[in-house]
Amino acid sequence: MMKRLLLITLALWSLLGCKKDPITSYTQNTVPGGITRTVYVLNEGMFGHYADSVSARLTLYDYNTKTVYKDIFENANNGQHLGDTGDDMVLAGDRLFILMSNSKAITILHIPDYKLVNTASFQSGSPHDLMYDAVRHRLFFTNFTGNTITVLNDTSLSTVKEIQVGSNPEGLAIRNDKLFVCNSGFGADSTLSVINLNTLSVDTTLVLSMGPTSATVSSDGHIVIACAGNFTVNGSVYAIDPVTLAKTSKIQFSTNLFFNSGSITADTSGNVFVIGTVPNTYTGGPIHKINLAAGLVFLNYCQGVFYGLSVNRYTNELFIADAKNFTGDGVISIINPDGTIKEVFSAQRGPSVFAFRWQ
Amino acid sequence: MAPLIVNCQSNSQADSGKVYPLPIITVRANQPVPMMFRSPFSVSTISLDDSIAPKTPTLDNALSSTDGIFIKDYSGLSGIKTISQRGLGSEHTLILLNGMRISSFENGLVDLGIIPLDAGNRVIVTHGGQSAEYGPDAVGGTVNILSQPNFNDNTKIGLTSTIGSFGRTRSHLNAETPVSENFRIGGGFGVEKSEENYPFLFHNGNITSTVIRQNSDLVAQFGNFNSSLLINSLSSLSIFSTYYNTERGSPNSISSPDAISHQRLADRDGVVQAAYSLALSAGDALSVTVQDHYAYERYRDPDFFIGGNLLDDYFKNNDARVTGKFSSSYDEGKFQIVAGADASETSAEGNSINTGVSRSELGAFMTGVSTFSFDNSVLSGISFFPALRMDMIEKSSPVFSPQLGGLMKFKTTDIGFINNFQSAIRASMSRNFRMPTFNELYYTTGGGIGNPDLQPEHSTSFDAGTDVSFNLDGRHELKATYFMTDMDNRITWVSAGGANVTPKNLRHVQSFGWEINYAWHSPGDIFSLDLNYTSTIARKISEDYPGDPTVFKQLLYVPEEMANISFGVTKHFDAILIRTLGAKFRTGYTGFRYTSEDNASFLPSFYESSLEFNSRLDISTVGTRMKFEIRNIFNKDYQVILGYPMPMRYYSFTVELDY
Repeated sequence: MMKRLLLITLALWSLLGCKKDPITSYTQNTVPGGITRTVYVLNEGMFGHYADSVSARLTLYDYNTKTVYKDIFENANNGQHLGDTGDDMVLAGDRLFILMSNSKAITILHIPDYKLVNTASFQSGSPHDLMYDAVRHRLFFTNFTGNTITVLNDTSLSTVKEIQVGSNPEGLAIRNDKLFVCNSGFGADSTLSVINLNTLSVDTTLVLSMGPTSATVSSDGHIVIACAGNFTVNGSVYAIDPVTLAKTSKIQFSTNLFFNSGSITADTSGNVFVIGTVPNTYTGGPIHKINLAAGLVFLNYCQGVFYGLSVNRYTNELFIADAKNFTGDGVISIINPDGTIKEVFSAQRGPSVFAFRWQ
Repeated sequence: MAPLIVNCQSNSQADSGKVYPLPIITVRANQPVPMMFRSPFSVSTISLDDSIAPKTPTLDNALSSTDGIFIKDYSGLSGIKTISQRGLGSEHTLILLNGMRISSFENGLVDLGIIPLDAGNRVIVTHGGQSAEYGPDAVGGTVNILSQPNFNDNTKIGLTSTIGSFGRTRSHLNAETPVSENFRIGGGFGVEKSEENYPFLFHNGNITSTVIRQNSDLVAQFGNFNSSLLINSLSSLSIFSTYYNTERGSPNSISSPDAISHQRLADRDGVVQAAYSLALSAGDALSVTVQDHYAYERYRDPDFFIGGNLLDDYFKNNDARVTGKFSSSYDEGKFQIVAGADASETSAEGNSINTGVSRSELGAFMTGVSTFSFDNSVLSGISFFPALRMDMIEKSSPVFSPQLGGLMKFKTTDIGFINNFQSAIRASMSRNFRMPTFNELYYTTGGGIGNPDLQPEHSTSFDAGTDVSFNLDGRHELKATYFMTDMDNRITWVSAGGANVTPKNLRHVQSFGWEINYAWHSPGDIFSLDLNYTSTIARKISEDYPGDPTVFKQLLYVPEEMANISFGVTKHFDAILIRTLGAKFRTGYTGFRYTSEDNASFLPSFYESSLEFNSRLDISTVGTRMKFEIRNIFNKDYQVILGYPMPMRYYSFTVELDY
């Protein structure tokens, strides 16, 4: 009896797993040489996923041939993955610096083979936003939960200094030997730290509105800050003179702005673009356009739910990323300066940051 | 299942004429006797003390091989472990202690890994909604820990000690004694420690590295006290209390081989129960149970600032409740009724919720059994189990929870070589609900904004099944159940502007599947075979926004298939010293789990196997039970929850001495 039972049991057990695990792999493609106009898209990936089909990815778009190449890092580095939550990216010459916030790491890739050159891990702080000082060859990143700015050597990635700033620092901008740091406080802080790039210390702290989150430099050299607001305070945008540090203008919105360090950008014609919010969604909102000089605001300039944006300064085109609520591949739209859509292409999970290489 | 009034003989051998009226036991989910052929629900009874091997120490261990239960294990001894039944969340299973609620009001969860079972005798798992009896939160089912003490006339002292891999040690001392002819007391105290610095594999594409788990240590103290007073021949009073205090590391999900976290988690929990029972007549009884439950939890991260302050959240809950029941049966138990009411007052304070929050609840319920017997038929009888409960909860509209169950028993018969063939068909349907937790209503820090306008989640549950047992070279038992649950108004956290999130009643989910259980015990209980299989489809069927591509996708971390098999051998001896030797091999299969709402990513399926050797020795008046266990015997590298690697092969050795 026992033998019969065991045989029946083993037979039944062998049927288990008839529902096979899904099969996933990365897209196998080879980036050809000779691409002269390259758009890089850093796809954030899903938080908490470091090495699967929905983790962070680097996508390349050939601007001339309109060809998309996915999984750039995986294809160049034997299937290795970037890590968990790609939050920022900076292009400097033939190097691409990529910041992974939940993996707490910075990776350097070499262009154009995209091989891994160096990587450094940090044990705490949740790095969020990255900035490159080309003059002093330094990298800066915000420690979102650690209230500091970490300064790195751009080759060895060794730590040069940690600078104490305000609460939950997010977006960064560089202008006139100064680094401007948005202290978001999760919506509870309202300050902007101004760091002297020569002394690597905080020179002064400006008070704006609740939740300073993202920063950019406008075509006239002003520092433009988007304050997302919070549950009780609406969003606003400030323009700051980088020399006198005076607030030269303020645009008050009647809703929140998107709480994301990559939610503001500026073109070469005096316009600034900022992402708004849509109720009940984490993944962005419509894009508003601001002409600072004229004081004009064009609400819902791009209607939809957008997660990231950047102006290609070579063409003055606006690149906007729709993350599709992180359910499937995101979509990138290229907007002409006149507001019409030039092109649309598919990226990967959670596109958020752009870099442009024109040769 | 019939509400049962029990007037038992005591366990005393010296005076067999003594009668101890026990508290009214509502057989629906509390009954310690085997539930096959007696209940319209799918019920699993887990004995914690099989008298051969040392006792199962914690609730997650007791439940891990039970059909229909998925333990969400955040790895290691210190990792949080929560329960999921029928595709629903952890907050949808109500955890009970002697029939009284101990699930958290703060977050709806119970960490199964830190609930000590040293004072427990059994765990009864009832699958499917039970709001008709227990009110809010019993949506996916209930888990009831029973601690009825096995008093005898002798003083008893016991010591259990465990050592294991990764620096694990656990010790528990218990004692019980009669103080007088009518009064007994007992209690225990234990400590547990572990470093949990186990190695695991970190995979990144083609690169695999071995990493040591860090900040995963655990220190715990736990204890219990119980007493029983026979007031007179018709009434008794029993008191039970339990307490635990834990301090542990709380590592983040692993997202790089260099990741280190410094978060710490502290829990303190105490429960005191007093139960009075009175036999009014041969068929009528009254019981009243009072409980006070205190819970404290603190979570801190020395590396995480929010708005200028370090993350250091704590909460304290205190829940005081009383339940009274009257039961009556007549016509030899064919018609039974239980009517009862309960009242509770729960308060909460903490630095992450508004101060001074509290909630009052009143509930009234009635359950019954009507049985119709048949003489000249293949049917033995048909029973109906109607039940209805009304809950009035502060700041909420009254909620009604109806339930109807049916049980059709067939006559016991012999078929060829098969003897004592018993079978029954059962079905039940109910309406259940879950109240929003204090966090969902009142949370105020770290970007979370509670929503005091939240409404209860509501669900409709249905299940139908069959129970079969027969004798053929031992005892065979087979149980199969089909279930379906439909839940609307499900609470989900959504963006609220800036970095804020808030909960809303947004979703509609459905789940359905099968729970199948088979057991065989050879004559003399020398060999045993247990096999169970669960399949669950659980999907969101509402759109969060127009064109939502995650509709009709499997919910996160709900395995579509689970199975367990265990095979045991026990040899009994008449020798003076060695009484039993035994071994048990168990393997569990968990199917793949989706880790993204669009089902684009998943964690692979895994098998986890263990081997146990146990023995019982009697040395003079000291009984000794020993167990040597090898867990994850095939050294599998797997994760139950993404980013939380499980220990690979590890060992433990336990000795239990009873005097």
